[in-house]
Amino acid sequence: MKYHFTVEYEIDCPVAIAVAVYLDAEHYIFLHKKYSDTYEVLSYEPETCKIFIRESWELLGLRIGQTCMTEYVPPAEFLNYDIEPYPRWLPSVHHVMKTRTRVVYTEIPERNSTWSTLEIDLDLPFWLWPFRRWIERAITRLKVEKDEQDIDMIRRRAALFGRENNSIYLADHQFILHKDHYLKHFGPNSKPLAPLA
Amino acid sequence: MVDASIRATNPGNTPPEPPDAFYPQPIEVSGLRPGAVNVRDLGEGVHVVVVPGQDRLHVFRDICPHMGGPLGEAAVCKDATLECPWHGYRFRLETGHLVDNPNERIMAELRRRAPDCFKPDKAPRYALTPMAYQVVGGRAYVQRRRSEA
Repeated sequence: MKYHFTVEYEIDCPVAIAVAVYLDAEHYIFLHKKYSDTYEVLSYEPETCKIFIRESWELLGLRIGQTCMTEYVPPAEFLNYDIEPYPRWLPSVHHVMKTRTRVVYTEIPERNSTWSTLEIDLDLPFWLWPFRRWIERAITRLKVEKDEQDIDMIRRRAALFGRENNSIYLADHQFILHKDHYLKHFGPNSKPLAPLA
Repeated sequence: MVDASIRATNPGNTPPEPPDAFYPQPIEVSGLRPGAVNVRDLGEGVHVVVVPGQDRLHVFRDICPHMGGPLGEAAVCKDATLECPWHGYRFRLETGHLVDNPNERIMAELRRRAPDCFKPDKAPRYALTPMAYQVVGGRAYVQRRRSEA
């Protein structure tokens, strides 16, 4: 049974900053360590911007987590799918529920700000259907909490270096995911190099 | 609490001279938690992190030189390094030098196959700048950098 819901709000920064923060994978297990403390790359296809990852954490001495395909669709779209529990024998809702997420950042031109849209598609067995709202609330809470941590980082950097300052993400030495694609779409001072869809 | 281990670098109780060479709000040494990150306001909007060591204080600005992360939320590691909460960069307390960017290992596969626009050999030598101070009457007065005086 299919269930679809959306989580939307404004992130007060240019789209170029919001995208850069998403692609700045080096902060995932430090700033967001509350949720996952290990990030492993299982496979990488640079041509298609697909990275198959495993995120895990320790619970009662056991390392558990999930594997997931992540995909960047330039300039400002991010997909997650094929989510499986890790280890595979772990009892998990992901054995019976398929989840696909799509994050899209669109520009709010009058404020040079970002509208964040998270679309979630769940494929649930009938016996999980009564719990769909509970699952929606749990996913929404997780999304909001992680975004709040990112927004704190964005705000602090804006106060220190300027709201449009994306120079660190453009710097030769700074690693971000799919950097070549980012550089094709965003220039200095967070200026889009092509119209944002 | 830290007390006798941090010796006065300037005997007496008179604040160090000249006054404008130091930030206006001194740090009460006895109120510092040893071996932990203490955040202190020096006035004029300047916040520092203070980590008391064996016989001295390690004082740095509350800003990671990599991306500006809040070092006030950093962790003091067993190997006497400070780990930035944003990207995990680790700086030696004694010198301020960057000693580890763990992402070089965590992201090794992605970095190895990264496009040509990523040039890790161009990475700057990130370092925290230790701030000088003078302890007078149980208070540490933090010196401005020459350019700030």
